[in-house]
Amino acid sequence: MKKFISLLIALAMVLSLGTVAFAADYPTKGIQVICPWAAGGGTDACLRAFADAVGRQLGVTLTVDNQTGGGGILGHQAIADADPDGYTLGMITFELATYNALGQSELTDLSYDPLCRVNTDAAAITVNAEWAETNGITDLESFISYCKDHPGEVQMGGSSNASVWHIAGGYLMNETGIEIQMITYQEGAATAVQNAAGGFIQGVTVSLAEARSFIESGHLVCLGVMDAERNPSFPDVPTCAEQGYDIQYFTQRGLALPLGVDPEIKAVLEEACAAAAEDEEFVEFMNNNGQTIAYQNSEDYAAFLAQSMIDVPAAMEAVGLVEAAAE
Amino acid sequence: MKKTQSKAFANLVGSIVFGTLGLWALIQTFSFQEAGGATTYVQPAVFPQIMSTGLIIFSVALLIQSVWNLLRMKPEDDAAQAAESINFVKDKGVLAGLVVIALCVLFVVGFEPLGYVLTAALVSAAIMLLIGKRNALQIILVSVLVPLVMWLLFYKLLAVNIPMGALQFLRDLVDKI
Amino acid sequence: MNWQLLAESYAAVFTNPQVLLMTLLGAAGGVLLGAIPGMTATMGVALLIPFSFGMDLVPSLGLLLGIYCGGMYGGSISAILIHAPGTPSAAATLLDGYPMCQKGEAGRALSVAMFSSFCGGVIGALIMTFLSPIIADMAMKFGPGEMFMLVVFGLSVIIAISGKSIAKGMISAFFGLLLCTVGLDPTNGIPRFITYKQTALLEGFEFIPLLIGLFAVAEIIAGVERIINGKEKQERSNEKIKNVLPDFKTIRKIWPNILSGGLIGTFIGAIPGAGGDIAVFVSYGFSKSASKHPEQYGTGIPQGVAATESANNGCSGGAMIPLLSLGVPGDAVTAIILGAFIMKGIQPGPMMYISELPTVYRVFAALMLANLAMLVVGCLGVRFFAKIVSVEKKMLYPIILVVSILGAFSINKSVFDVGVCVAFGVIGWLMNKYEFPLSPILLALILGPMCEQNFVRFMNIQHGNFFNIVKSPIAMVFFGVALLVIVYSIYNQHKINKREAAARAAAKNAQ
Repeated sequence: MKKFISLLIALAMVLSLGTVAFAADYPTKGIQVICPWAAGGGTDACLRAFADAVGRQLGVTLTVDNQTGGGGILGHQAIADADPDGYTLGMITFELATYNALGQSELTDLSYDPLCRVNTDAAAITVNAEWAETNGITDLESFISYCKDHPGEVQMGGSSNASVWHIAGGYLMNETGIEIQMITYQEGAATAVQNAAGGFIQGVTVSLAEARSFIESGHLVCLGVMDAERNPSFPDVPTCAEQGYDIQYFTQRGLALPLGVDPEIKAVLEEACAAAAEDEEFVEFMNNNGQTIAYQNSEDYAAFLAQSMIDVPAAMEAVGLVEAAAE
Repeated sequence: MKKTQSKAFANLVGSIVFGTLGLWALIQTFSFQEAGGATTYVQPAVFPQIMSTGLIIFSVALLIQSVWNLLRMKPEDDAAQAAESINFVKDKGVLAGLVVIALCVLFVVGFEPLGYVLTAALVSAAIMLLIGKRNALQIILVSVLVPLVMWLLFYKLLAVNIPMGALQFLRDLVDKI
Repeated sequence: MNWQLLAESYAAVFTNPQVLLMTLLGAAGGVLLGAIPGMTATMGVALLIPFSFGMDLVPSLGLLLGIYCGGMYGGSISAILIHAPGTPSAAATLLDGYPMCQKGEAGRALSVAMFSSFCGGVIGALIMTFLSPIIADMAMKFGPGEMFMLVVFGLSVIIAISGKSIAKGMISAFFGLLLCTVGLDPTNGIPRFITYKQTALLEGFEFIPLLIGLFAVAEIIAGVERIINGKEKQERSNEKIKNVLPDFKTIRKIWPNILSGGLIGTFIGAIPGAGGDIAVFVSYGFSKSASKHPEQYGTGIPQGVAATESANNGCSGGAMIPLLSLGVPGDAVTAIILGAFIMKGIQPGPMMYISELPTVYRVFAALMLANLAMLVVGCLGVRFFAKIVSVEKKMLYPIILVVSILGAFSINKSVFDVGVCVAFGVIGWLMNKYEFPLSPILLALILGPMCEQNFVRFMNIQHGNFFNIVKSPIAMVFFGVALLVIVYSIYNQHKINKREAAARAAAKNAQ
């Protein structure tokens, strides 16, 4: 038995020696991609499609590893702590900007070496159609003036506590000076949308894709999307900027490496990601899925992340999230 | 039979354990942070408070019931029947149960450093020896093959990455195929 | 209802060899995934999405629905054979399934589970086909207040599954409800019983490791104890399985339970956010209350298995209703199925019934096919599954442990969860010894978060005025039924205890 074990250990050592990474011939084996959110969710779907596309570029398999729990913190932590050999990377998401502000984790944008931004989805102001009609709300301006006349009365749903859509409500309040009551939906955006359509709350601040079925059925009306341009899947929905309110707010997803990866390896990955973002299958997948591809290279993405570390906590203050954690 | 071996006594012990737990939880809830904001109508502490109070109320009810039973029960009452033993000095089965628990703890401790397959093989072999399995071939077959097959199933089919510790080379081997 | 289109859609689905093959593969995979604790249908469905991307909508739906239906049945296999529900929806099946197995009726329990699953699934699929628009309207009327009262109704079943002592059942239930509050409070994100730094507990205890611990690990410890004390019986598969389907006598006994279970399952499944895990307990509680011999429930009778298994498969039909007609997924699996539609450029929702009616009818047909495929796989498998109990116990227990621990780990890939699983194994073992029922903990864990979230949400929307709830007729109906169930279960339990005392006294006199 002893002999057998020592033989095994020797074998293990030989094999692990053989797989040490040299930048010149990177990659030589499969790459693992950590997803901080559960299999089957929006991040997971986006990442699996993108990982396939990157894999086609590199000629190796990228395996998605869902390390969930702790509101995404555990997965984000695992990416930052991974071996910087280039064979483990991960998808970081919007929530990264909230952890430090909430006092939940030391992780910031500086804990990673950002690789590229893959996708953004803009928040939209969507309200119950019946309620809008009885109160004469037809566009963003009339909505805001109604809210100003009835401070604190309008109730909007926005997914779970401290989630991207919940904070979107805070951002809306900050930018327009209105006061609305945000209702949290721990079960997710779908329940919030259903409640808004049923008239239990007046509206939602989730993405267009999530409210789509009820917008098409006429239960809900979208007043404006918080993006620079109209969403190609909803060409009739105006942006907030068109209506004179320069509000831009979206969730983001991107790939990141742990700190300390060889720049040559990073360059190989960056090139593959840039090509993958234009991969035909990936583009078709994202279009069908209602997700917007918003590629940014490593440098731009790093700057974008740094800015979000300032903007997001400011919006969180408006929904009362930050004071709660400060004590 | 002594009254301390009866179900009524077991209930008494149970009610004290759960009652204490409820009391501890209730005390904890008073040090919870309060949520700010004018639109908070239910504080985070409220729900745990209701639940721990419920736990205390029914523990007290069980306590009263079991004390009443201890004083008044007749031998044919359900409460007077013997409860299962947790005395590990007298009862070999309970002792074995504790050994299994210790092995499970070892499983948890060894999961990351040693890896799943190795720990699972050791723990399952140990349990089989403990419960009197003596066929060496079967012991080795089960303790080696089952963890390996389960790992392969989860790793290849569901892409679940499992710590392999010293057997990391197996993963590299499977990746190459 | 467009009958001709319906018939055409059925014909198109049932004669397409690719659809048949995919559905059968899905059902087989689903049964396997469901049967192994910790492997869930959600995982399987999520992994197959990229694979199904290259297929047409109907074959890929066949695959996904096959997994969904197969997984619902698969969970009962391990619940019956090894006291470890493979999926949360099978948690109530072990109440009667495992005692049946201990009586040497494993094969019968499996075939009853399979037959009831199939019938429940068919009931769900039929209701979905004919009543979708009406039920979807009803689902729209569920807001926070209605959901809260639905949860209260669900909790009222606790007494029916408490066993001899109501006080002990309530202690278990409150213990479970208290466990739910560990972690960040869902509305304000404030830590309870933990600090922000305990990252692994921020979202509270993970459900599946807890479930595996309380039932599987606890049963292994108890099993080892029995073996050492020489009390373990080895079930031999001397039970001759002549027919893989239950015999006529059994069917005559269980059909009312199947019918009520299928209806309850479909109804609860149709409410977004409520799923099979709740439906099975409600159905079990209902069957027990309606029975002339409630004292037999929990001792291993086919009625108990039929009530739960028909409910969870009925749920799959029910959950498809809000998915198709509102675009609102009822649970994790239907959320992924929703994704499969969207990827094909079809947005489920009220408009789908107008613009995509042929697709809708094909989904109806595909669900019916998925249930049939599950039956086929089940029939082929019963004999094989029943053999599992004849594996020597001295080998079976270590195997279950090794599988269970891996299952607990794989949900979040967290060693902490494995620790939780072992800790609750010990708790479950001790509670079993002292006859504290474990099922109320489970029901509390399922309903607790829903209860709190909907209560707090209702209060926030109503500005703290709870009594506005009387304005909702649906909520009041649930409240009324809950009260009735509580009163009736207390009366029932009283009757059972009296009967048992009389039986004991009679036994003593006879000695």
